Amino acid sequence: MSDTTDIKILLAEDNDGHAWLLKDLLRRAGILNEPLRFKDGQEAWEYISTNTAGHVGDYVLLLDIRMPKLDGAELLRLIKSSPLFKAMSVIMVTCGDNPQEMAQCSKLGCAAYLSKPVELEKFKQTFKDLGL
Amino acid sequence: MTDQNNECDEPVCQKILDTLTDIVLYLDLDCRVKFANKAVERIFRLSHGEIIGRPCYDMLHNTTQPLDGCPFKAAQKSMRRERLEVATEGKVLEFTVDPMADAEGRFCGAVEIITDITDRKRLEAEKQLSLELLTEKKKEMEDFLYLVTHDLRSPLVNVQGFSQVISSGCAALRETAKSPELPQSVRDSIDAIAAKRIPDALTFINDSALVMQDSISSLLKYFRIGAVEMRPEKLAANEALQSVLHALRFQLDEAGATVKVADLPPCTADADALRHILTNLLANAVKYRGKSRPLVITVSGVKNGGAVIYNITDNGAGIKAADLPNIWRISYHNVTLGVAKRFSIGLPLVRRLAEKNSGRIWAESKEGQGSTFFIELPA
Repeated sequence: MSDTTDIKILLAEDNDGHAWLLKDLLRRAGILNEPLRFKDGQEAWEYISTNTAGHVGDYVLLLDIRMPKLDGAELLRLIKSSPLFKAMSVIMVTCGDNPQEMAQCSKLGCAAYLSKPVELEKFKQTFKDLGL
Repeated sequence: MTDQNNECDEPVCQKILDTLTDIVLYLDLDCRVKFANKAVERIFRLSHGEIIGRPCYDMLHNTTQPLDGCPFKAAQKSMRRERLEVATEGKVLEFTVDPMADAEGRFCGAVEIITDITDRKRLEAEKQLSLELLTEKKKEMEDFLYLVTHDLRSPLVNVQGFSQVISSGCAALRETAKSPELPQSVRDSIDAIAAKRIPDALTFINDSALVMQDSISSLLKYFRIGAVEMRPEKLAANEALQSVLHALRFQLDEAGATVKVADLPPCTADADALRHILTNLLANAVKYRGKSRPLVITVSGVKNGGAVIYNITDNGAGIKAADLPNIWRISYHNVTLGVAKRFSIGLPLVRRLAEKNSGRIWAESKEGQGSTFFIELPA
């Protein structure tokens, strides 16, 4: 994996346990920057829309699908339909393996789709494939 | 009645018409009743004198002019059969009007039949309600599936994830416990816990989580099949079987199985469904082979009228007669965990696929001798 010190990880995940495990996974994958965690899609969107314009390439968003207030698929749609934010790399991380959901996210423009529990090697490979 | 020309004399005609439960009216050009059978007296409680010569709308609907959509007026215009349904006093009546033409083809009156369709309408309404209920239930099922996917898997992810964390924690602890600075008794004590007790407990936790994950996936798979559209086409079953055997080659070889294949007649089915059925049944034959003898699987097929029947016979462990009807049921698998591993969700799914392809599937078996599975599909 190349130098990841400049990557800012955003983590939108409502389940505390899952968030803990994903942070642990990031550390084990060698991404040592502390991720910024949001408990729902709306919190994440408020941050993204006010803080990331102009340098979205510095961010990777790990995005759960089923969340209160604003779900992950909807947040992905918001990001990818905005010229300001659509270049942001978004990795969907979800409990489901619903082919329709996967197809929908892929159509909306997510960079990758990972099913929980996420294996370390697959996680590393996903970041590598993104050139990170 | 005269037999030669099938003509009725007037009293017989009258009797026939009076026997009808439906009202029969003959209306003249001005919509006045010229003839009525007895049913009108029974249903509207009117005497013969109150009926004849009266405009039909006055008699039937108590109005001074024809109703909107009056089928008499419509038939006068279209010169073909017209209908109207009218709900009145808890009943639904259907008015059917057939126009009559004179020698020049001009409208000269009409025959009207009035049928009480209250029961039919009630049944239709009940049917519609059942359909709506079914749609609602289907939606509920989809919501339930969504709930299963997310709400049941979500805690499972934590169980599995944190088990791994504990496991790697134990490994680290064992490394630390190797330190010579610690007294031997402490090192032994830590080792007993971190190398044995906790890993043993984690094995049970992980195995149970895997069984649960597998059950959830199987259930989802089973119900999702219900939503998949089948695309039946003419299939060369020989080719389908060969491709399945090729994919299962490793398992078959490892089991030392001999597969005898006869020529299979083609069928009409969804290609993926047929592949799934064959794969599942052959994999089952391998999985539940008899321990005392080499596995022999025979696949054959016959054409039977508009259908084909494929047989997959093995000399495996067989199924107890009492268990045989249960192998197709999901509930069976959920009740007894030991047996769940015996058949998993595969067979209910296979049966569902066969049925979705207008076919069926059944089995014969003798415990200790082997089983034959029959798959019937349209030719």
